[in-house]
Amino acid sequence: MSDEDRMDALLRQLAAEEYNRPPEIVPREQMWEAIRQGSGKREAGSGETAGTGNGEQGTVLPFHRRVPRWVYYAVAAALLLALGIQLGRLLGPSPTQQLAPRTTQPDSLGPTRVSPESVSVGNPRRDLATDSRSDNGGKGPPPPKGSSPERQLTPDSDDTRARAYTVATAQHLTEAEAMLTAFKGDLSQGRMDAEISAWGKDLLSNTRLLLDSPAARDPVRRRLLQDLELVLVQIVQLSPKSSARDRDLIKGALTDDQVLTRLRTAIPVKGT
Amino acid sequence: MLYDQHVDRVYRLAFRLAGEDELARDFTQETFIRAFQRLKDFRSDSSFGTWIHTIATSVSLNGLRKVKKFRTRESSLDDALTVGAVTRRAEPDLKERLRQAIDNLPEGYRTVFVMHDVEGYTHEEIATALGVQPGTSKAQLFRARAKLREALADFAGEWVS
Repeated sequence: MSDEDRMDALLRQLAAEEYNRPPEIVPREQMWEAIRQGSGKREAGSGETAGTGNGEQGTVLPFHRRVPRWVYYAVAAALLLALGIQLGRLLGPSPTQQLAPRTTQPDSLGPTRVSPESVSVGNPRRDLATDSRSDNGGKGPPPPKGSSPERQLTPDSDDTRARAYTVATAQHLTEAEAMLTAFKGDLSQGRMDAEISAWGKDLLSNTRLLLDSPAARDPVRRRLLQDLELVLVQIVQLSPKSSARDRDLIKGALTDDQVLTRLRTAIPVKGT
Repeated sequence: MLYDQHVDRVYRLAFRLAGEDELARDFTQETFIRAFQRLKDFRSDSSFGTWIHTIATSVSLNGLRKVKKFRTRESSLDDALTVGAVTRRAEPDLKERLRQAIDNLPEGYRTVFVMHDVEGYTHEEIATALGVQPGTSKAQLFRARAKLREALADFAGEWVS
């Protein structure tokens, strides 16, 4: 054994005997009591205790440890979903907003039918009239073309279907009233605009479609549509070569049957 | 049961590192409180004794660092109040010189020396408790012994003889 080894052994022995020598008796019970109290203080409110006096573990886990982690994830996902739905309802268009500008014709018209609005392209007079008396009371932009109520509404709902026909009819009557007003103006000036004739053709076909649809189940509305059809037939058949008598007949039909007045009465204030 | 099995050794280690009964008790209590709180984290691939001594070492060393900082501030105030006073110290005897020498060791050296040479832990146990390699523990023990020999060199002649 070298001197270094001998010195290390002596140092080790001396250190073990003298350096921070702990007491022979370890204060077990006092420390255990302090551990219990310390655990109680730390876990007060969370329901956890460290153990029992004999060293056995009597752990009562707090609530957040008893509940599995997946429950938290599931609750969080459900809350997120509910929040998204609520935001969608708040930020998205309401059912009325969806319905009013898009329901230009009922589904019985078929997707290939020309909607009344589509005729307004290239017809400034009619545009002016339509804009001022649009189905939403002139409060919003013109409705998008080519959209059908079937795309927005639930087809299974009778109430929804009836509402769609009502809106489409109102839209059609509004357009017819605008067209007849324009025609009456031309009539008083003794001239006939070819665009009004084309406009009348479109309105006539749509009137006939509406007469064949559930929109005509209402007797008053059916009668109005029939009278409108008659007037429109006369207008469509009118030509620049037609005599003054033909024009007077149309004028008489408009006046005697009070078609314009009835149209204006039938058009809802807000176009619904 | 677990407490009864391990409390003595934990307390002894804490006392050796702290040098005071009050601190040793605090460290021991803190060790077991933490162990009970983290019992679900305990992996059975290591023994409970090794695991709890890892906690004990961590608690004791961290606690001692805090105490040391606090006492350093206190002693600075005391020194400031006794500026100019001449103190005469008696020549410390071997035990006191040894205590001072061990206390003055760097923390890593001192911890390994106390655990291995004083309390009889193996290098593997020390390495696990301190989170180092066993080779690191051996190297630190070698350097700790060398520093102690150097610090107590003037006693070497008496001991060897």
